[in-house]
Amino acid sequence: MKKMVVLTLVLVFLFSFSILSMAQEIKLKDPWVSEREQGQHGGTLVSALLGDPKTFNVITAQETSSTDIVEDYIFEGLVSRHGVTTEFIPVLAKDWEISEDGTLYTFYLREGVQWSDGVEFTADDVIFTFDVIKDEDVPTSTRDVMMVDGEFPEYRKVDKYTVEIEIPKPFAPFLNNMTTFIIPKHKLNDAWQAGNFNDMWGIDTEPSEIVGTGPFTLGEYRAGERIVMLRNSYHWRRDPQGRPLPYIIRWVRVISESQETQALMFEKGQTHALGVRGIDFNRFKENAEEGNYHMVNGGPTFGTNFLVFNMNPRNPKLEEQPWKYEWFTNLNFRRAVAYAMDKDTMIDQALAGYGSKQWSPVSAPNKVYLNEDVKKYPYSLENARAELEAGGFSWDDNGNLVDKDGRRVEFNMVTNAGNTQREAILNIAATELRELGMKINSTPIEFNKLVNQLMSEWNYDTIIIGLTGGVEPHSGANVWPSHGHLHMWNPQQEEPATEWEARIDELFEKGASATEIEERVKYYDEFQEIIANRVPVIYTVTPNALYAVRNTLKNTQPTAYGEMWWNIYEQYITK
Amino acid sequence: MRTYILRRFLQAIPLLLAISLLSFFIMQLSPGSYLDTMRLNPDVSEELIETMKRQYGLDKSVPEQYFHWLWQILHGNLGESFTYQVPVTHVIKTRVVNTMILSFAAMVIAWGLSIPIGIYSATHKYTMGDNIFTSLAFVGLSIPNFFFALLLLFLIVKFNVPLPINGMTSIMYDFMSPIGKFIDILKHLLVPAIVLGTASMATLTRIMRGQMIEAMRSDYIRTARAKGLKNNKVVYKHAFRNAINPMITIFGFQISMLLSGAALTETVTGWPGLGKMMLTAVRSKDLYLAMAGLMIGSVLLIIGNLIADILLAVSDPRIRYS
Repeated sequence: MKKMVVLTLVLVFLFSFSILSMAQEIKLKDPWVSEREQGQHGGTLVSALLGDPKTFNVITAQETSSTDIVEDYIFEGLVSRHGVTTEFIPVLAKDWEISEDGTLYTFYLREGVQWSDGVEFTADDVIFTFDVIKDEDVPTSTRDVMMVDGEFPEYRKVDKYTVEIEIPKPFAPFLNNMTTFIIPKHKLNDAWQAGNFNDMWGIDTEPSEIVGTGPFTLGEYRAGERIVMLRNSYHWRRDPQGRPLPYIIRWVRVISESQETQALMFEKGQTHALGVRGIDFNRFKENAEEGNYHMVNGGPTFGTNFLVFNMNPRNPKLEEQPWKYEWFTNLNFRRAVAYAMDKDTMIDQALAGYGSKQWSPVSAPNKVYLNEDVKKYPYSLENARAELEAGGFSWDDNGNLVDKDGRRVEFNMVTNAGNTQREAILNIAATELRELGMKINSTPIEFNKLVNQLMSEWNYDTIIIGLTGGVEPHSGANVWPSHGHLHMWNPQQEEPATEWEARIDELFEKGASATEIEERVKYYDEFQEIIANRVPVIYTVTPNALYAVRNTLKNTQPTAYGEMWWNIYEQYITK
Repeated sequence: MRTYILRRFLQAIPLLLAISLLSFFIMQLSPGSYLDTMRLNPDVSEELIETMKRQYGLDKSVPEQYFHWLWQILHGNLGESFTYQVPVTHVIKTRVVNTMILSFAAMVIAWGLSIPIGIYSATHKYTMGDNIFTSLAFVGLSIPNFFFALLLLFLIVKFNVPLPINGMTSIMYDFMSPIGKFIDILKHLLVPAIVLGTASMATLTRIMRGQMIEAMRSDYIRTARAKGLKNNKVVYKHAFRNAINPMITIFGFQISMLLSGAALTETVTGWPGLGKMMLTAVRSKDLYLAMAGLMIGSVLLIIGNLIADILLAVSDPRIRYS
């Protein structure tokens, strides 16, 4: 019996030694260390999700319900943006260099980072990721975003921990593309070689097959119910005492498609944090002490709601109603409409008081590029009337607005049905314009129909819609330059129709090729001034990011940009 | 009887073909395609949209797409979902079962309560009990499902009732014993099943009551009573057997609604069924996913009707098929 014990002990010793020696082969040389207070390890975090993921394949994932699961939590990029300052921060690359002429990027990878199955992360994984993105058979928008001057950049491995990327000409937005998520070669190469990459890592995948470098791994997915994410014990971030992060061991994300139910779950104490709707904010605030949580107002989000005029001379309806083109291209007319936007009422009614006015095409949380000094159109029907008069419009005896030919001003205004926020904005805008004597036919229509009118039929009058933005202003390159297919008011122009559109084209060129951030800010400032001045689109109001956070959850810092979980790796739960 | 059932099955084939043809073309007739949402994404180029259109086969003509789909179906392949990029069968497999569990529970509640209540109301016409049930039935009929569900959930939170408010299993489900698991699901099932059950209960009670009253007035009941039969025997053996026929027909229809009637309730209570996913599939034009949902619904309708007809023959000796 004694012999057995000794033998077992020896075996255990040998075994643990062999594990130790295996672990020693890959040593993390460049950990990142948390600067927030030291937390306690352990605990289960519970939060809610609005929808099911559609895929776990981070390269082909298209919409937020999928990216909310995998991005940053399971997969990481070479660089990322800070959740509060929105500035670039090193992630899988510990550092990077950009050559003097701005065409050569060198990334130095963190040495000794491991995938969640223990395999080391190296330059080969980065090269593999670019290979996949470059492959035309892989449906990913990243490929287009990565193109510089119509060419995919050249990339090569210098050594095990260094990658070089060369682009044909200086292109400042390029660094933003390096936030692209890196995937493991050892797991996906075979499938990609066989041409099956698009079928990999769908929702039918065994969770343990999905391997990333992020703080969490996929533990379990129950369709329509929840996703359980488990701590990645190989993660490269460290707590102030030098122990591996994250603190949280299990992260249960309950799927609930109803925001009402999510609110009830939080009230019942089942979840640790909640994205609160404007209408619920005051109710939650009142009960904060009792429920042991606090409220956070993260300020305006990246979501936008704007009104766009059809200024497209190719509008098929112009044959019957050529005057509409004249109205909408009349700057005074557009400014009059801008003055008639009662944004205070919109915030009160559409956003329950928790929203912000937007004046510039750059979203407010974009701390780097926002120009706050653009022309603003505070609500004033007086000013609106003055603009209309200046534009050659007048009123008949019944108070109806007529143009210079005596034609009654009447047009359609639509938005996508089902979005209650936009429907409310539509109604308020239409009411004010009716005050000015216009006849507005305002209706919500089916989303697909609206997209068709906007993008291919070009036969609408005005539409209230929104686009989501990011920090990098060049991500609007399909929207603002006159050749863009999302240049909504007059898309895909061969030659810019107006001088100011030509200037915007120029500014986007310059902004992309300038390398110094100050210089870029200058160009994008001017672009924002032009849009605010010429109002081809009129921005309305943006909802604020509101959160209720349980007091037992520490080290949180929710913002409109990073949302609730951008620093999940250093958040911890007190017992 | 066997030849009759066989004939019904054979008749179902052209019927299903016609249904599939109609739904496929109607879905394609409405404007837009699955890729529309992506077209509004500033990061997505026109070329990528074109590539995806080719990959999804959306560049082919509608008849071509239909026959391709039909050919796949005949080989037992429901196609791939655009949204999920995995076979449709995988997406709906567990959800179909979940929805059926919920609908079945709701049916048990609805039928188990409405038939006795209907009979009671009919035999105790205009008494206190009847009036209470009638008023309750109207409340049940007029209250929207999602609101009733929210109300129940709100009460659970307000009074701290030890019942779950979301989903089908609790977080600790995987660590439970088989009996624990069963009880866990039952607990989660309670709210959505009550909501759905009471919704159809109102109608069923009213129909049952009406049928019973009608039957109780007929001559054979007076004869039976004159004969000196016991009241119970009159009610259950004579009146009930005759009053139940229309209910059986309705039962057939209800089977077809097993999959479709629960979308809003499922959303509010977080039940992982087909509900909202199918609505989204139709609206976002995830063609093959939506078609799979429609076809399963149609098959259930046909089967439900067949079951109802067979049950009719069993319960009513006057009905015979040959």
